[in-house]
Amino acid sequence: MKFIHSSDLQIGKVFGYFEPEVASALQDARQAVVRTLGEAAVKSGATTVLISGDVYEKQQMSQQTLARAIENMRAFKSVQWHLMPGNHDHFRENGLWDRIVRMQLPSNVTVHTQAGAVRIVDEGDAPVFVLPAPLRFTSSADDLTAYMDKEATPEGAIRIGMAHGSIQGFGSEDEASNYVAPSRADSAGLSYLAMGDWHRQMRVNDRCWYSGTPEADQFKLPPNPVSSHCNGGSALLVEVNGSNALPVVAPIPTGRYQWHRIEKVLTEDAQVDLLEGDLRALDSDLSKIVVDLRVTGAVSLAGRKKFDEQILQSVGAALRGLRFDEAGLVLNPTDQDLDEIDHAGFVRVAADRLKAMAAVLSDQGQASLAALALKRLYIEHLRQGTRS
Amino acid sequence: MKIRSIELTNFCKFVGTFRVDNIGDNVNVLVGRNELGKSTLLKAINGAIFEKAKSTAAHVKAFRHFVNGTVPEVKLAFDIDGKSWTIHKRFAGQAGKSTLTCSDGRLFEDDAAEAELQRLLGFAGSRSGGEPGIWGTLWVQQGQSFGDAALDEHGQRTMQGCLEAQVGLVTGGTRGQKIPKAIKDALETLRSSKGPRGKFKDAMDRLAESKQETTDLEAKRQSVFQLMEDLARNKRELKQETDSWDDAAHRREVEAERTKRTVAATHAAELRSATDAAKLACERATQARKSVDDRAKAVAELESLELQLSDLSTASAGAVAAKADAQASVDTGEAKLSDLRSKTSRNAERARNLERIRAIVSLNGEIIQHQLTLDKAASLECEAGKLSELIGAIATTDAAVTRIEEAVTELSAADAAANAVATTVSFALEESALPSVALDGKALDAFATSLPILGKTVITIQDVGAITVEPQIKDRAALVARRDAAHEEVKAALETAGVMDLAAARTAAAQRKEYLRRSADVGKELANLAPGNRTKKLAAGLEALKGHLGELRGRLRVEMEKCGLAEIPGEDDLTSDIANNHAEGARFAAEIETAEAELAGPQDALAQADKKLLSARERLAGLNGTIETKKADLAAGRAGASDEQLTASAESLERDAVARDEQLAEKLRGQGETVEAIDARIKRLEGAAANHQRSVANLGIEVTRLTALIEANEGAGVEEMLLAAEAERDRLTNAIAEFEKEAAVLKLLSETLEAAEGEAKTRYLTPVISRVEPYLKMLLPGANIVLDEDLRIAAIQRAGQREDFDVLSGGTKEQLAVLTRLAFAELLLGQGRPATVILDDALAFSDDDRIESMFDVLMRAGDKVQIIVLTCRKRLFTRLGAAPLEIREAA
Repeated sequence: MKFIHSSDLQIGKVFGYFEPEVASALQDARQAVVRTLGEAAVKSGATTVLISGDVYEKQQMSQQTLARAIENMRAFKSVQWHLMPGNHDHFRENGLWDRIVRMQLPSNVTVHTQAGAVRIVDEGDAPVFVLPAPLRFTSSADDLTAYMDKEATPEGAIRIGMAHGSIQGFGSEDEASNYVAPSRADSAGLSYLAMGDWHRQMRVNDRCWYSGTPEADQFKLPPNPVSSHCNGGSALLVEVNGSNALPVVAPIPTGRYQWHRIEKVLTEDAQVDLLEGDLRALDSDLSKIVVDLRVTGAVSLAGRKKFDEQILQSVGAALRGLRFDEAGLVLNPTDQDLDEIDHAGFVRVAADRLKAMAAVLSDQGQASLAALALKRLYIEHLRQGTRS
Repeated sequence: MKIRSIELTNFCKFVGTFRVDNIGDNVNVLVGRNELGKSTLLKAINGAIFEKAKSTAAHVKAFRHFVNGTVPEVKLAFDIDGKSWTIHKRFAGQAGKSTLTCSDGRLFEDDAAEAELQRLLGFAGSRSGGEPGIWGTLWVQQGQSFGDAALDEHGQRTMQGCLEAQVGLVTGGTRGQKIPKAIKDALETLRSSKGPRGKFKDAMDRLAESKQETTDLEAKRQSVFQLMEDLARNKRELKQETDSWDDAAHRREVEAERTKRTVAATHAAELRSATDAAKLACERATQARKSVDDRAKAVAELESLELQLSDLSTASAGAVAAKADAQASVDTGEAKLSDLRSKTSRNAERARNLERIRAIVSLNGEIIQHQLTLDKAASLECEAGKLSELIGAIATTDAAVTRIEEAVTELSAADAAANAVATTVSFALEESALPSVALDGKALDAFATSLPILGKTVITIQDVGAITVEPQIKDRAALVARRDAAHEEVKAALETAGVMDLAAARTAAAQRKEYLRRSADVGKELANLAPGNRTKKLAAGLEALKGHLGELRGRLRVEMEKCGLAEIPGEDDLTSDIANNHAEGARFAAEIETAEAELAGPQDALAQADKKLLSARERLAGLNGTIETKKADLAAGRAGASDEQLTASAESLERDAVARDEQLAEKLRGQGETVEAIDARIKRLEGAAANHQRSVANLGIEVTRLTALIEANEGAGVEEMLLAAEAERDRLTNAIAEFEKEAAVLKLLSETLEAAEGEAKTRYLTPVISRVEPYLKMLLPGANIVLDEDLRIAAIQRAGQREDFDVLSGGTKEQLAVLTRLAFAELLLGQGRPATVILDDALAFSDDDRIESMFDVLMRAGDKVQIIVLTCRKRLFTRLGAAPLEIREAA
């Protein structure tokens, strides 16, 4: 059988560090990814989508947020959706999942709030069972997949596990909890163990994979990154041909936005042009790109103006989202900068003083303020036009 | 520019042509009386330079003479840049004419002349005329010199140009001025003195709201979770309640208990009936037995009462006898007491009589005492009379003695004076010869003697003849006269005193004094005899005493009559009588006390006996009544049932009661569980069922309520809202941090610019101050001037104290303003632009010392700057020592 494995949609997540309109777009993308998954299933001939936890960001979500996701699933009638609570949306009595169940779930959506084998389809003669390990709390000290080892299914059945947590021995991301034994697939006779929780897509072993989040949501690079591309933005297409056969697993892109974390050191003003080029090369459509720009080094006042104009104001406007922290970018005003402000007079005297204050390393706070004040003076001088 | 001459034709008050020539390089003074036209001269200089000849402005038209209205003209000659220039203006409105000529032969007319003039003197022109600029400051019109040396905008530019040339470019020009303002404006849009404003404040307000919203939502989130937990718990409890309850079993149990209750209730009714019967039988038996007992008791009581009656009668008779005995004892005691009391009464009467007699004796004593006093007084008066006679008999008073002593002394002195000059004739005669010798016919009284001879003396010797001695003594007659007079005085004095000589006189005087002393003593004694007595209201003096004595005698007679006394008894007898009477009274009192004590016992016995008798009689009466009643009751009872019948009935009823008790005990032994116990159990079971139903109902209601609440709240998506609110809160927090940073940056920038600008201005003002200060030292040693950035005098510093310009005196203000103008002029000079300072009637407020200093200043400044002083105070300004100018009518 073919199915799509995904997790960590975290629908309803907010992005407070972006401007409201950017945050809104990023939030919308998380809802829209349900449709992307459905389309990917249809396109690949998969009949089933398994979501291994964290469909939603929190417990108390609005009716619209909850219903929109379910309605998006309903739309793909040929696809069976199997949902399981994760740590963000763990099962609690009378909580979110009870509410979804009360909502007249569409027939193609099944919610797995209890541990235990559930027959979901027959693949030829072989019945296919899912063995979910839903979370009843944010974190659990027990390995919730342990029951799978003894959970009986008919001979020849295809057993597919669903779990949400960290795989022991693989290090951890964020808070390590809800450990799952790395050998669970083997010990429980699973054809495939569909893991959720980590937002990075990862193969644990032949039968055990993390799908990662289908829509990126943080500026986190994988270990030993080869590019600026951050985790997330894809799902897995899994094909299982018989209970003992090794699954065939293939990533499929699902993300609407690509998140990039770019770190640059600027030592001269001309490097601003190179940085602009790098940013523009990320994608032909920069509106799909969300960037965390970490620039360090030192530039002149003119260089900083160039940076503001070319990077922040031009490319920045084209990007879907840009996060920029100027703390690492030191201003190093040149004599030419200061001459541009004025050759003489009290304004020049003030500029010289600010430059001197900015160079006092013993008081970083004041130095930083002085540098910004100098920058502001430079801008004001430009605003007032050339000297008379 | 240096002015050389000015010529006015028909200008304002001047009719005809008048000139001021020979204006020198240094200080020039034009002295003239009021209304000579000094101020008109300054007006003409201003007009020639700044007003256009073709001007039709009202103030230019006013240049015409106010009566004849002829066209005014001004011709001003001045030097500038080494050349001499003459500007000639004819102010005739549209027909006006300007002509500017230069010593190098150049000629400019009308607009060209006006333009060249502006260029030369560096002032701004306009359609109506020039703006005086710096000249307006340097040329001080009458009445304006004491104001601040304020510069108009053009003047400031002129000075600024001069200053910048000296101190370098201190400002960033117009743009430089705009930057601090723009920064300050930007800061003010973010933050005022009161705090954040605009977007900054809006963000802060919204953050507060957002925080509140977050808190509220967090609380709501927790409350929804709590609802979920409560619902789960209630559902569990409901399930437990339902699972643990067997309704059929409960109904069976209740039914069985009700059956048991019916049986128990029947038994209980029987038991109650038996109990009532037994109780009734018992009561009837008890009542019968009581009737038997009561009758026996009544018989016994009657017997006892009759015995008591007998005893009581006996006791009553005894009480009567005892009372009679007691009464006799009391009567005896009372008779004795009565006798003693009458004796006491008589004794008291006698005591009072004796006291009256004692008063009479005392009165008599007083009378005798007073009589003795009066007798002694009579004796003393007799002695006094005798002494008066003796005193009267002696004429030799102390004064008479003194007169005699003085006369004797004078006589001795007169003798001595005569003897001193007398011739002494000594005789040493044989005793036998003595009788033979006579001196002035008198025989000598001694054989040997010396005699002083004063006058002619004849010594006759019997049988011998006579020897005449006649000493020659000067003033002999006077000496003799003095001695004779002294003799006469001694004689007269002795006669007056009635004595023979001085010794007798002294003895007589002493005797007289003794009589006088004794007479005084008798007088004092008389006076002391009757000193009076205030307590007895007796005045001093013998007459008062005599009156008082008469009164006392009258009183004595009356008192004696009252007491029937023929004579006054002796005091000792009286005292003895009183003592005896007193002793008798005391004895009677003791006897009365004893008799009263003796009477107390019998009186008490009498009262007791009386009381006993009364009590016995009362009890006797009561007992008789009781016995009669009891006898009547007993007779009535026996008439109803005899004693035997009553006893038989009681025994029968007692047997019946015993039988009934046995029957009841039998029934009690057969009693099972009580109805009450069964009722309690039934109630408990019904309560348990009701509790169960109520609990199920309540839990059901609670589940419904909580479900409804959860459903009502879950749709809102509280956590989703909370996420959004937290994001908004974080965003606002970041925005505020950015605003704060921006405000801090703008503040730092603004302060840095302000400090730099302030320092630049200080440098900028230094050239002016450095030029003012030498003059200031001459005027106000030790003072410094403070200028503001617009070159206005802000204050002076004296002895470390700042004194604002506005609070300085008018004179000081004027002097400082003149100094500043001189400094401006020097600055212009430093830039190769020599300037003229004109002072019209300046320094009017200066005192004598200051004006001398100001003259020194002007003369010193005049070395560099051309100064024209216009004044009406000739005498004062003579001391200026400046070159004199005159207004002269042109030939």
